[in-house]
Amino acid sequence: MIKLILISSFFVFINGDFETESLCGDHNATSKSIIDYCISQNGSLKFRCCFLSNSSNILAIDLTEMKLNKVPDLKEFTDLTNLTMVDLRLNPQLESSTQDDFFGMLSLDYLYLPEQYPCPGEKHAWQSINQTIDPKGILCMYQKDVCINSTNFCVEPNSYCATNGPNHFFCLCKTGYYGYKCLRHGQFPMGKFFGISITTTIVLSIFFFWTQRRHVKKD
Amino acid sequence: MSANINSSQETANNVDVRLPQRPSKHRYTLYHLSTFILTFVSYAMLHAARKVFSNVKSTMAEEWSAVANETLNPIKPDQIWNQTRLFRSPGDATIFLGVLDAVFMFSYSFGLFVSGIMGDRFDLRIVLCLGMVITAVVIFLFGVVSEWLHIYSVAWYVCFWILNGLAQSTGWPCVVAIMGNWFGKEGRGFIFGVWSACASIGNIFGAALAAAFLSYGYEYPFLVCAVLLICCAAICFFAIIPSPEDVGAKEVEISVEETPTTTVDDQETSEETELVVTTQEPTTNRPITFFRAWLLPGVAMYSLCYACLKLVNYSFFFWLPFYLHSKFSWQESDADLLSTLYDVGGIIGGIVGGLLSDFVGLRSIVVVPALLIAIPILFIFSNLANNKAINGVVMTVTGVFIGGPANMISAAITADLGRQEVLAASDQALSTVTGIVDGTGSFGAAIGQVLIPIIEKHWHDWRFVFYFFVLMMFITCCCILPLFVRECKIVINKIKSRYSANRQRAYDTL
Repeated sequence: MIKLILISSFFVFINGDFETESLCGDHNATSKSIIDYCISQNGSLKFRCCFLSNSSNILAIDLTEMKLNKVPDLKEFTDLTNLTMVDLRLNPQLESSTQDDFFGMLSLDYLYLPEQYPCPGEKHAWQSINQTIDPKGILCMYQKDVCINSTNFCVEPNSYCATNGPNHFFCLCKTGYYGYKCLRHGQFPMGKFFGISITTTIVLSIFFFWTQRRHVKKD
Repeated sequence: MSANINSSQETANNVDVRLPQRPSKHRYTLYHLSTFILTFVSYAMLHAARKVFSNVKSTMAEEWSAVANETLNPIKPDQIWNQTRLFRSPGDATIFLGVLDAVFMFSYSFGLFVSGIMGDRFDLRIVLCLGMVITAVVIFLFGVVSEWLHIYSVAWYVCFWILNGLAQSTGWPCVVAIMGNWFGKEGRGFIFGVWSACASIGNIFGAALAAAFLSYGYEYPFLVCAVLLICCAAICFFAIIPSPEDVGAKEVEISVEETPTTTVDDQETSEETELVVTTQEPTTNRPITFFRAWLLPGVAMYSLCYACLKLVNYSFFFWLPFYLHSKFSWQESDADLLSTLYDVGGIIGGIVGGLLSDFVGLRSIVVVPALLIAIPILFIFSNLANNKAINGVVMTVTGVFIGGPANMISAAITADLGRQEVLAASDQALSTVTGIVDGTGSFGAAIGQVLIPIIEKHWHDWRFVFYFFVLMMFITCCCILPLFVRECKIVINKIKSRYSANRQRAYDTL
């Protein structure tokens, strides 16, 4: 926990856009959705964050009313694989950046966004998109696997598409392939190759020396 | 005294050595066989190293650059797809690889002149082995170390590729000189015709190496190639005998004139007589100067001729798959396969041409008609329809009439030029002459490599490239026309005299 706070304070220091003291901050969560969800999942609520029971994995996070102008880059300081719910409403200046937002949030299934911010990937990435009234915003529900719908994402040879958060995907190497651009396959048989070539060389050298250069006259 | 000299040429307990002294023309020993194989394999390995590079190129371009930019969905994660190691896109890397090719050809052609001179002044075996070892080290640094240590630097690649050109250039003058030493003028055309297939075999071997080891990473074909080159150099170091004199056998050409004397096997005197011999013979190693080599009859003419011919020949090697791919939009593997037919044609042309020239006893008289036939074939080739069978046949024929003469000039004819009668028996000229002919040729080829993309870009039409080839072929013919005319006169005189002799004989019998 101390570690988390330390890291989060560091994060705040380097990220000027994220103006609160730390990720989980010092005031309590105000979003009703977050609080309800946290209780239903038996999570423990610590200020803005809802932690999965007795672990440091964040389950839900309330980022409402933080005067954000971009989605904070959460991946730098916490494990996002369990993050299921994010509330970003009441941030009227929030602008979308399709490249980085929600990158790596694989289990994000409830995303509350302010009105001006459309669901990333729209219908391609979400099973249902609803308007919320209080506070005003959009709820993007249930992530879709972007890889299933589009076949042309990972066209490079030996790679496959792996989903990586809403409207994000990774191109990973197929099994057996590795290295930059997945160009490598298998392991070079060093020992065998050197063994064979060195023995062959020695045998042939001796053979040829015996039959040939032995007879050379030195002047 | 003569008996003494003769006995010094051989050791008492070696039967093999005595054989070449017999005056018979085609006395081939085990030495000849091993020389043939070793030089063949050495040069094939060097050529394989070049082919490995050209087949690994596209993978290298990928490794050097990020994935071609897709703005909508950039491929992630970055460490797998988007490292800008040397270039932004594979396209930029391909341009750089083209520059490397040109740099290699120029340094190779310059290196040939130097290696030729060195080959005549130092032990051919040492020069060849050293050249192969340096090539291996350079390839290792170029392809393997740069990848293992992630040294992706333009300067690194250019430097080592220039060095590679210089190191590889030791190969050809040395192997031709060694072959020329062992195989006399009789039968040289045929033997050199078969032997000059080494370049094509090397290409096939290199392509196989690249295909077999590329999946482990592009550095492994280079590693395998470097190790095999060192192995080959080691074997050559312990095996190659640069000249028949080294084992006490006389050269074939001279041995014909020499009267065979009874061998006196006196082991006690052999040491003493050796001393006598070394003082008596002028010196076994008296290299001619670079400029005198240029002035030898035929050398300058054939060098210029070969410059134009090698330009066309190499352009075919390098651009044929690309041309077929862009004109008929064939798959690159198909285009590659069909273009090897050109190689096959070259081997056939070299062997048949060599045989014919052995039969006539003269070489230009075979080369010039072949080159003249090549000109209309080039016209036909440039207007072919999209048909793989017809293209394959015409490609083979083109190979016979362009690749064949090129093989003949680079091997058999060069060997003739370096060991012609004008030179004293002790003159060492073969390696220098080979260096000059092939060096000029490679220089032409290097210029061709630069010119062809320019011509193609300027007129946007491959036909102009073919017109350029035709022009080059025409110049090629003009360069050796004087030799052709002279040889024609010789043949006509021969026929006349034989005819008149026959008539005389007919009169006599009457």
